[in-house]
Amino acid sequence: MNYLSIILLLPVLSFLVLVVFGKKWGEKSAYVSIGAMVVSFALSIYALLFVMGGGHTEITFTWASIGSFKLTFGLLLDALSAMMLVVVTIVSLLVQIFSFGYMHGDKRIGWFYACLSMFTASMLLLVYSPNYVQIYMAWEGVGVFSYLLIGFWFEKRSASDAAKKAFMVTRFGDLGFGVGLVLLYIVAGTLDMDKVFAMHLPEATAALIAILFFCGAVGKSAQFPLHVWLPDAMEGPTPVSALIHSATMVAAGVYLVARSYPLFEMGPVSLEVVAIIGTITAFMAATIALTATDIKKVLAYSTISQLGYMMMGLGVGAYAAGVFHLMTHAFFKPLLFLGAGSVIHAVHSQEIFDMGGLGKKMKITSITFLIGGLALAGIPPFAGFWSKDEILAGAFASGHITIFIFGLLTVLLTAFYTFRLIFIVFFGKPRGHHGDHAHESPAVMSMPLIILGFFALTAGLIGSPFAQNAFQGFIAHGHEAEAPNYMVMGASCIIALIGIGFAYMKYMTNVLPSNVISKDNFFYKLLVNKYYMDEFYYYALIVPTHAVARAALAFDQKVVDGAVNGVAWVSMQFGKGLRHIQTGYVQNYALYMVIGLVVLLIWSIKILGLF
Amino acid sequence: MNLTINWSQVNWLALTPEMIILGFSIIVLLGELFLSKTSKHMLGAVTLVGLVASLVSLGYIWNLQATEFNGMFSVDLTANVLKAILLVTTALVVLGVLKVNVLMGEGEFFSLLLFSVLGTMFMASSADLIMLFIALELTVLPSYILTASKKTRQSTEAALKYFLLGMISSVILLYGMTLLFGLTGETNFAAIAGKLAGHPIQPALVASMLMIVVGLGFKIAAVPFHFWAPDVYEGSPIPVASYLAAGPKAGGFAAIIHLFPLAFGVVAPAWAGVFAILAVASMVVGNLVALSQTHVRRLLGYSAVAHTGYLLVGLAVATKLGYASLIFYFLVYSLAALGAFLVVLALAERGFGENLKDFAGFSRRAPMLALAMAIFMFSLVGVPPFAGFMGKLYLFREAVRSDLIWLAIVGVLNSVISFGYYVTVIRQMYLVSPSEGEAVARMQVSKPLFASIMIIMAAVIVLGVYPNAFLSIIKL
Repeated sequence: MNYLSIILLLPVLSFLVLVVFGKKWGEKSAYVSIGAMVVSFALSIYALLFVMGGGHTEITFTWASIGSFKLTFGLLLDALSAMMLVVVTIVSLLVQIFSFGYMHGDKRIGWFYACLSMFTASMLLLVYSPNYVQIYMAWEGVGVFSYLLIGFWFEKRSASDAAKKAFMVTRFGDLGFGVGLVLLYIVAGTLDMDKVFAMHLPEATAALIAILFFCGAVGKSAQFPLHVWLPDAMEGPTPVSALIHSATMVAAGVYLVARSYPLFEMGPVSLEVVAIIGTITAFMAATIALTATDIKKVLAYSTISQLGYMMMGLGVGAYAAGVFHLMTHAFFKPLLFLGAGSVIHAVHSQEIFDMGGLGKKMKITSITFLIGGLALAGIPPFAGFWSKDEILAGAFASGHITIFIFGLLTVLLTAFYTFRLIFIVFFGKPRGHHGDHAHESPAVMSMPLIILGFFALTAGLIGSPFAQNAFQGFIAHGHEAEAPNYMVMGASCIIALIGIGFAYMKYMTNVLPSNVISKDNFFYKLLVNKYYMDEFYYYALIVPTHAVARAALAFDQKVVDGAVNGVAWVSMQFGKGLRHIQTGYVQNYALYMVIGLVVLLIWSIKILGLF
Repeated sequence: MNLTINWSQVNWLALTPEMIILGFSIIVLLGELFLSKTSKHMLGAVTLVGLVASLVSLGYIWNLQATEFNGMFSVDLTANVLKAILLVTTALVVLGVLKVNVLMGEGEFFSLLLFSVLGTMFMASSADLIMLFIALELTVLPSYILTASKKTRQSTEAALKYFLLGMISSVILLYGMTLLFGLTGETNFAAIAGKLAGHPIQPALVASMLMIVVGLGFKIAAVPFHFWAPDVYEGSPIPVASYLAAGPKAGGFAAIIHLFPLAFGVVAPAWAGVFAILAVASMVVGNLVALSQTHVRRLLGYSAVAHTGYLLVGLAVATKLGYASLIFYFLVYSLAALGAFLVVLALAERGFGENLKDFAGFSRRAPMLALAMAIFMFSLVGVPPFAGFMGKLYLFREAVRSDLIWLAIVGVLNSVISFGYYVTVIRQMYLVSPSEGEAVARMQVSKPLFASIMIIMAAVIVLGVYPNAFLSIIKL
């Protein structure tokens, strides 16, 4: 068996074992799941080294063949998937280790680890996909486990509602993806990526299919206007938010666009759509994050905003930069989430205004959180700076000046809300008594923070000009990175510092007058209510859907059931009639057999034209 | 005709699976005679070992193509696959009844079972009319005794009907064979084909072909030669009914696949048409009558008739892919039907009746068994992702490709009708509560029986989700 399949099968095996024994083993379940992930991670590193040495592997199995249509299932290892393998397995591994502390004492911990394992397996299956059927299946797979994990504490009404919302909203985008798949199959006759990419599809068709695929990505990666599920998904346990709703699953949409890049390039209009949606998302989510007061919600909106950046990068043609940002974000965002988890674990509240002055009590958490914050705000040399800067430089170089300006504005907002969070939570004086007994989390939780902190500090360097943009060269042959644009670098750096400065003045000093952000302000209300998007969906979609559902129910009960019952009644009468043939007399049966023979004889002779 | 056999040149390897079964059936029979009453319960396990050993040896000669004993006995992939299905299903029956009272001496029961299996295996490998007839009789004679083994009025009546009708069909079959021999002077399938090639078709040939259809149609319970099936499925002891529902039909289908395209190649349009007619008749009669049944085993009996109809579609198509689809569907059907019978057995073992109303509240008595039963029912209807769906997909696709679209449509409509009675079973298990005052306690099931049902359930799921697991083995 190939080591690539072992990477995938170990978490599947861990899932199967834990489904059966998880309840019995309790917390020991974690060892199975973590053990499997350690091996998968080690093998992923090996796979990455193999690809860096110029290797490329594609394995295919036939899953089902129906005539000429073959459903295949495969493992594709190239630069993009190798990078994703490592990212998925390392984040999953660290999150699982962290969860051992965080979920301590939970009754259903075995099931929790089973779900984490299977989620990781689905994500790996997605990353490996050489064809769209497999990607679609894995896509739904990660959706299901995301649903199960968001609703892990389903006793809480809000958690099960959030799980449902996430499932439904992303399904809305998947509808587009599904239609795109059917259309692609009709046009191209295949769903194998390499075959599709080698074709020359008409520009308009390619653009249409690409945009339909992008609909799926909009749902999964929480882009405007389908971003509404992600903040609610924070009802899940915090490690889940770190793994699924920051580093991996939400990046699947970005991955889909990156993977299908040749298709998008065939219909360049689609890339414009990606860029515009990405920019709107990045800016809008950053503005909402300004007013959020729940620590996880702030991070959720920042995730949406950063995913917007990635889409923006892909859309403006900075392919490598978009993927680069996916990678760096996959380190610093889980770091922030796990840090938030550590804080929540300590103070038992998610409200930032319940916290304060935690820096002294939780040294490791606060220092690693600060590193994550600097990476998110885009301060060199932290990871986020290099990738975000590449995206901005790409937008500038490709002449998308409006997008570039909004990108810079978002840098300002990002720096401000990130440091608003940091100043309120870790500096100043404690507010209330939530933090009275706060202390540093156990090593099992702080170790993952330190490791992620290390990567948040250094992961960007491999794509920086100091390393001759090694990452971009690796990931994108042919999409070579632009020469470093020091003007853009300087500008974004200064703007980020200004953002931090504003946050400092507002929350650490009293320099800024309080009426700058008045709570009666129209804009403030707009942001606190998240642009009224949820309300909009409620009245525009949910209310009419209920009305249609009631009408359909009436139709079904009266018309459809009537027809079905009618047919059933007629069949039943026939059946009862035929039943009388079964008289129980052997003589009758023998007679029927002979009659059958004679009838067939007459028919056959007629068919053969013998008389 | 060469009447001498050069024993040293016989490739005995080709016969190992049969020899193993023969050996074990004799061992088991002797065990009945010589073992003490308390140690006889081992005989079931011995039978199981024999079936598995035979299966292993079959795997060893999987790709062997050989014809032995002057063209009497031939081995090919079709025969091997059907034998494997027979052995697997029979092994699952034996596993299921290990801890069940089989109502007669264990040795008698299991040796008769093995003799019947042996006959069926020889049927699958017959390349000669005489061989085919003897093998067929070897298959059915033990079945008559097994059917009667319950020694109740119902069981005896079913056995007698089975026996009388079986004899009539055997007589017709033999008469058809005699006609064929009279026309050609040959008994070997290939030799018959050689003699018939190039000559005008005579009515006697058609008559002979149809008489053989009657004889083999009886074995596979096709309408209008099916009358024994509901009575036997209902009246015989449940372990016997489970065996009869699945395995022995493999011999009938194997014989048809080997005999008709070869020996009756010249009248192919006639028999393909006849099988299409029988297919429609079996589907329609089986499904419609099943709708009004209240006894679960009788319902399954009619469902078996209907499924013979679906299987006959593969013969009506008369292409290699059609036969392959038939074989796949045969496996899929046998597993689900066998599973359903074993679930009925589990209920009966705890003193429950076999009427639909006795299934009320089953999902609370035995959640896993109810789940398994529901999956079997869904598979029999042909609901994805269970095996039945894939099986029907392949069969009906072959019908469409061979311009028998109407037959595919009849098949699909019948599947819709069949939903009516299969769902009744599921509804009873999950939605209907047992009558008031009756306590719903967890039902105890013997471990081997439970294991057997779980294995079948897993197979029904795996074959539905990943049919290539099997299709690649049979090289479809």
